[in-house]
Amino acid sequence: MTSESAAAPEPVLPASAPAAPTKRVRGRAGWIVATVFAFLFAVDVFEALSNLIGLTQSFASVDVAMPANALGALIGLVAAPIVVYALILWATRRMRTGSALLVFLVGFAVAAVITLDLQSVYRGIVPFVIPS
Amino acid sequence: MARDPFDDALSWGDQNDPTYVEGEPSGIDDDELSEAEKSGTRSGPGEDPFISSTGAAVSGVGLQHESRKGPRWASRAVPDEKASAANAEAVASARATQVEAERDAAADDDLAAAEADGRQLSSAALITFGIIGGILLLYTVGWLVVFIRNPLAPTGLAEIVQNLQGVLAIAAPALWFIVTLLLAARRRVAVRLIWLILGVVVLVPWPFLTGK
Repeated sequence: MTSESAAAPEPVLPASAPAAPTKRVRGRAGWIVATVFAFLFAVDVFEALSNLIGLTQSFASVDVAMPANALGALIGLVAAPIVVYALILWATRRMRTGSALLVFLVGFAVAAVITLDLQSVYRGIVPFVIPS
Repeated sequence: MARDPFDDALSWGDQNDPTYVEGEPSGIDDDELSEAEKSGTRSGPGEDPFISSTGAAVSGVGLQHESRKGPRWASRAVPDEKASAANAEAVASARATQVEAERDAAADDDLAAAEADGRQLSSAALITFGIIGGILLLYTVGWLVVFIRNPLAPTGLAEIVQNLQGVLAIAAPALWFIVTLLLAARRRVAVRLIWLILGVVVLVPWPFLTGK
């Protein structure tokens, strides 16, 4: 090794050296999909809220306390679409728009299944209809 | 000159020796050199054979050093330029190496993904997928029966929503199965199985089982 090569300076990489790969974020199309499905899930929540309020008032009108598990099923009807939407919104944050659309569609179907399940549970607890 | 150039020729000094005289370039013959000396022309671009061969004898070492290093006013800037040039070369080579390594890693990943795609499922995994697909198909039938058995009473928005929910509930098992296999195609079989089993648990047609 010559003295010239021994004195060669250490390579200093500039600050603009290749950085770590950036994470994918939800794009504009992804947010449009999320917003459209937010409206659809909101319709589910609206329906569940109307059930909760209407049935509570029906029980109150005849001075009968609603069973706790029936009330739980009605509250579950309100909470299910919100929880499912929140989970999907978090799970699809790094997905492509097409994949996110598929997941939102499946999630909406799952919310429908849970809603029908809880309605069935409620009908099992309260097998009658209070006349208005 | 304190020393005779012929003594210099017999010395073993290296490039650090101030009396060191660089030898002739290997690509130049003695004949060419002598002809060039006679005609007074240079043998190569930017190289004076007279100086390169006998420069020390005629014009001294100082002239040779000056011709190498450039003008005296730039003598201080030259090492910095050299250092920066060496640094730039080192940075360029380091970048090239880094880019090459990244390309290699990406190629390895692609190859692994292609191998994973091309790899066939084991028989056990295929049978398990088939069983879960069958269960989800039964779920579809169950939701279809529920939808037919419960005619819709409400009107307006509630009717639309309940119709939509019924149709989506019928389609949900098939949607779950297909989307799981599509989106988790590059994941391990165990991951796909976990998602499919989760679907079997979530999509149970409870109204069909309870009859309510």
